[in-house]
Amino acid sequence: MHTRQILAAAGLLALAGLHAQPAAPWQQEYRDAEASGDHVIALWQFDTGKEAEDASGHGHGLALRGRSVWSPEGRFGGCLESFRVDPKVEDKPVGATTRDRDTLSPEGAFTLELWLKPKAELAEQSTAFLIDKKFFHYAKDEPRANTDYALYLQRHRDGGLVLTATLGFGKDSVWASSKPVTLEAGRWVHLAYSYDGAGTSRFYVDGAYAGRVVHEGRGAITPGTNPLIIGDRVGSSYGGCAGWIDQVRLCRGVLPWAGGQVDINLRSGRTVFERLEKDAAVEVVISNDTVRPLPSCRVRVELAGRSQEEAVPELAAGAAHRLRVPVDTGLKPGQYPLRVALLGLPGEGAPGHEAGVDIRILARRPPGRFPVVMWGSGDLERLEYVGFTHHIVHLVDYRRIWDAGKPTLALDPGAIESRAEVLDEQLAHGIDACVYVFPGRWAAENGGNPEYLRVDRAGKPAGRENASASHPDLQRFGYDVGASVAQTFGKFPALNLALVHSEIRDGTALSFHDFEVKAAREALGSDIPREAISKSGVHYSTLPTFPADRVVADDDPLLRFYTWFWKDGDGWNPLHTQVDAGLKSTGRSDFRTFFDPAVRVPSVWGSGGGVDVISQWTYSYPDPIKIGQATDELFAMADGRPGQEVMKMTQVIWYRSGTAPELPADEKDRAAWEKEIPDAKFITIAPDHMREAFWSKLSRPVRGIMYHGWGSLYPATHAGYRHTNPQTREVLKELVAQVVRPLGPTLLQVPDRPTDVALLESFSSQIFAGRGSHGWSNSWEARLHLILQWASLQPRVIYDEHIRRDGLDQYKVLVMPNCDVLTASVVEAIKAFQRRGGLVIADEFLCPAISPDIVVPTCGDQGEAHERKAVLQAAAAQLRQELDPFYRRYADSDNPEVVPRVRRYVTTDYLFAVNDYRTYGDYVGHHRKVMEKGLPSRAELTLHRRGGTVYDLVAHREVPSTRRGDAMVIPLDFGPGDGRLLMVTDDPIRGVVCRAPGRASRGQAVPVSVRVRAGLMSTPRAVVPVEVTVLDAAGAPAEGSGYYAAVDGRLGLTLDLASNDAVGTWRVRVRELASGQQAEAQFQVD
Amino acid sequence: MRASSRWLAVCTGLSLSVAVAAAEAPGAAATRRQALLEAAGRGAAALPVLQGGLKDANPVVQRTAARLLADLGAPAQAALLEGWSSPDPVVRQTALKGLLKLEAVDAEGILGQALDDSSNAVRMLAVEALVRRPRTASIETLLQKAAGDDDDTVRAQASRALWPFHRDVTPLRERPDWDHEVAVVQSLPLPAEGWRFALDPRRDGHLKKWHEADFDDSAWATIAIEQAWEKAGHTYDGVAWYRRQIEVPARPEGVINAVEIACDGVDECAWIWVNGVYVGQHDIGPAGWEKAFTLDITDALRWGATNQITVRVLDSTFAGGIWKPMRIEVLR
Repeated sequence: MHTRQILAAAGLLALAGLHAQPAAPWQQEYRDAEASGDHVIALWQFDTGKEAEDASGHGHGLALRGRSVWSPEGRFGGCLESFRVDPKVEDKPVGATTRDRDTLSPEGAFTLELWLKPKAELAEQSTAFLIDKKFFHYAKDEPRANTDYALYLQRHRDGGLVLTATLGFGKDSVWASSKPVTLEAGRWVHLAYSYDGAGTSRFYVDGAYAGRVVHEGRGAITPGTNPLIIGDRVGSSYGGCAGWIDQVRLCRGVLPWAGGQVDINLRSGRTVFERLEKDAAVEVVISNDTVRPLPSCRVRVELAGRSQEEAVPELAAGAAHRLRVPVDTGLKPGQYPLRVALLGLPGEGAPGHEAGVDIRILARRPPGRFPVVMWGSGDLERLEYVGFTHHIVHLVDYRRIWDAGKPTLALDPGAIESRAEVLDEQLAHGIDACVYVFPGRWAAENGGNPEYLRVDRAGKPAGRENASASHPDLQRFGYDVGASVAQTFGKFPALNLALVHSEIRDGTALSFHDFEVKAAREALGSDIPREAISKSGVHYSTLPTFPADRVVADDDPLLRFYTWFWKDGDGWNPLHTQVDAGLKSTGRSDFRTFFDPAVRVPSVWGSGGGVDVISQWTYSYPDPIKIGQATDELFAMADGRPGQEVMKMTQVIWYRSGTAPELPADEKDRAAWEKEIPDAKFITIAPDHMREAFWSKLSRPVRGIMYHGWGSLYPATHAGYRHTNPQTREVLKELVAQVVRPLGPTLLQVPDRPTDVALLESFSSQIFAGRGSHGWSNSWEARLHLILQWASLQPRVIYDEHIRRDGLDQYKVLVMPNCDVLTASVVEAIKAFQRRGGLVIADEFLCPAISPDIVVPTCGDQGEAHERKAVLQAAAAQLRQELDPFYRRYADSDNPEVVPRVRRYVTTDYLFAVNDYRTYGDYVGHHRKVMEKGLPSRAELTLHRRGGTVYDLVAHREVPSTRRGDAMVIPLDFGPGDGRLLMVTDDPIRGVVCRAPGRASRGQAVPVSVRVRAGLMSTPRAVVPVEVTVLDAAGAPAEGSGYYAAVDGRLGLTLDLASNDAVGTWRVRVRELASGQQAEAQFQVD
Repeated sequence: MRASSRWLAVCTGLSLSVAVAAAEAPGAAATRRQALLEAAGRGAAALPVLQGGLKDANPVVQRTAARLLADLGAPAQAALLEGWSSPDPVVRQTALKGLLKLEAVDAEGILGQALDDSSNAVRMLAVEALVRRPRTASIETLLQKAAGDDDDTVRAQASRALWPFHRDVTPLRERPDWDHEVAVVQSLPLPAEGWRFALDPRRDGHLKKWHEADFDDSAWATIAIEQAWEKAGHTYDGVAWYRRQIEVPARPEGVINAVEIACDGVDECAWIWVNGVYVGQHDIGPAGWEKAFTLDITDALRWGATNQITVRVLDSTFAGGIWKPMRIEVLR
């Protein structure tokens, strides 16, 4: 249990003890006015013989449901016994029900209370309903889901329980939760909730105040028509409460004992900080939640041995005083208790007058952490186990922001508090948060305006529902949502990434609202061409006057229209720019935004708009090096927006239909997982594919990697994703630990090596001939890319726009798959390229205006996995034969199964090699659709450079090489699915030197320099990975420890000693991770 | 021919010269190619060198020579004619393109030869050139020959050029001159089951009168619509025909402004006849697969009678067929 929760729970127990006074009304069996007074709406006491009666006399009689029974063992006489329901063995709801009547929906304030004696199995329930008249305890944009109230126990993320209330307000609902509650099996506890009819929820446990949540701007609840259920949910969703329930009462108004008290809240802001954070402070909120003024007093704050006092002014009823307690983040990493007490009040030391929380100060992370994003959500422990750096969180109440019409709090204040706690906890675990925002999608579905959805020329809905994203309301809302998130959560360092509208442009369509037609006219100077019906373009064969040589003018009206549509006209790119601007509106410099899948669009720049990063989802089957092809497409797209970066996602899930579609009839022919989960729709990627895909994308200069499919990485409740291969997770963990963590900072510093081979993905051919991979990596464009990889070529994907902007001078080979139709300017550039000796490789569909030098006919889309691969590899071999007399690769492999790729920093090469040698295994191999089992392999890698020394950056050792002619030859053995990263430097690494001053004082900044030596005085022109371990005087690892990149062999560190650091001898140990050489420096701390 | 076998066929054609090239000293072919490129800068004076390049042992050098000759234009006519008989299909393609630009060449004669070429790519190039030429009787004859080509891509291009049915249709709801509310007063769903179905890989079903009302389709297979034909076991890209008789009730009372046949989705192109009367097409290429469309059948439909509905479908990629419902809508 988290410390904060322990404290809160302990506080509640202590308060319960203090309040165990016989005079408290809630402790009594209600009689007379407490049972039937005007304020009582209904009272169920379950007394023997009249168990179903409403003791208030208002006739709200009960009927049992399912196997619930009346029991004589109540808190006061009889009670209702309810149960946890296991849907696997029974399908009937439990509890007791009374039919709906208007009076059960209070018009203003009300109080709900009951006694509960939990059963032991309550501890296993995630949700247990106490009272429900709302039916929907989750957000749903339907009127019927947003009426009345429900009170239930909910599993807190740390394992305990909170008391949660949800209230419906017609258009939407709010939620409020208590502080963590400790319930003991077999012990009666009194639970109460009050709502003041004006936005304030309060919770009580055994009469003790257990929290308050304010819902701004709310009034009375909206009455509904559901029956009132005790002990289960209205609908049969198995929310039955395992326990005995007694004396359930619903009253009008907030009862005097449920009206609040003085409260010190330490949870409204942050409690976890990084060292040396500026302006770090804990927000203390002292609330007078009573009906009387709170006299002026003093507050004492104790933190890390320091105590301070200051005055608190008189607080009117309902008023709050906010206090900012600075946190000395110069302290060494650790946990520091914060204690806050109100002094000088009558009854000093009473409940609510004291509070405490543990403040945590974390060591700063070394710079250059390489993102490993779980595209999904998991629990922190298991995320940490694998080595993820991020996962996805949801932080937006769209309705709230939509109604506000401007940036506002992204969530209800109560919800913000709980999210704040989560974000703090993530920071402590080193798992950052990626917020997922989708304002356009939400507004289209919920904005209530038909203009928000696309229509065809006849005004009818255009195919799949998709927002008319260029609508000004949606553009504004995009900014508002981004800005609301920034304003609400921008202060949490764990939140540093945002995913904007995933998988949205797949569903886009031409749309013809007046504002869209007008926008097109303004942009193009003419109307949308009448032939434009589909977003996919217009096939040239349907255009009677299309030129015979299939060369279109650069200003062809259709081409101009589609270029505009895909760049700006469909509205999504500008909308993403708006969301990005909103998210950055508070000035966080480390916050990044991303869009995916960004290349499920034609090959024209601009996808994602102004986001910082674009990414793409890719399934690894049948050939995992296709991850590299998809990554290259992303770089082509990002080229259009200077500064935009690329991350790459691998799907942890495999479509069953694409890998193992038919369940073998005979059970003996089935794989182990098929016997266990025969109906799995999505299964886990094979471990060797995980390896290959990892190396394939890492061999490109990506700025992070992602994985989707938590339910296939771990057993989870997702209905479709199944966990069918536990080894995959271990492989990913190993790769993160051995490659990403130690080498990540280096990888982020090493650019790509410019290549002289380009692969054109032609936008004009996509628009006029229906071509294009659209990011799916299975079209001919993608297969030809595989051919190039197996031929040891390193292609750069380019668009028409690249040619127009950059020309083709930097290339020697231009590969042109599916380039049926070209623009005049592109044709001219290619002809000039050929005139100066450039080689064109194309297929049978090439635009007649260009004559190819080498033809690679389309192939490889038929047959079983091994047949397809064999055909493509045969094409690769053929291509090598034709190309080699005219072209020399910089990097080569004598084995087509081993795919080389080079990145380069100045004169140092970073040679990656991926072993793609595979066969059918016993996981899905019997279906013959995927060769999922890696095999060992051997290759001689060749680099055409003058010389150098080769280091294996994962093994941290030098690798032998020889010379053959003008090339270096490096023989290597590979394990199944294996990858290698070799650093090839001009000069050998001679050693590593670490220097620090001999003496330093606590609180002082200690400069440490690290130098990797290539000669006596020189350093290599390389980015060298370095591991630094800082050990304090007690021998404990200290801040500064971690992995770094020594750029040009040099690294400078500053160790900011804390005022409470240990005195004595400190050590800084350094190991460069190329050859594994080490050094150490010591200094004395006084 | 499937893609992989096309590949093998081309490989076989290329392998001999490639083997020769591979046996050369490293860089020799590149040097010869570079020499051609440099020579081309001298214009017509380079003709002998470039023509000599057509005989080079390396096909890439040959292709470079052919391209440079084509760039030279009329002076290179003889050399291009030599290239036109090259064993290398890429050289022939390049030569053909170069020759077709020359006025002094018997283009129709060469195109006729090209239709007999062993290379699909050359034949395709010829058909594309024929399609764009003024439609004379001799061109029509050549296109008809191409429509019987062994390669479906070539056949498709020629068939499209010769396709005799076309009708411009503007559905009532899209008529710019129709300034009234349009209401569907009756909707008659076409049955999903009971359709007759035939593949038309040679794209000549219309020549066999498959669209006519009294054509005997009893020997055809049966199929259901509202699903791709792949679901019925037809793993096939190309043209196929659907036929079905439907009972249409008596004409509804009141004013009827139009009767339309509505298709929610045909993957990807469709041509429709009602009682043998051609009523229109949905022909916007592969993008049409998910686009609903309607066609006016006011004059073709017979009320209170059995009506013959015929749909010719073209699918060029992925799944194909009438995969969504069809109905007849009576509009007021």
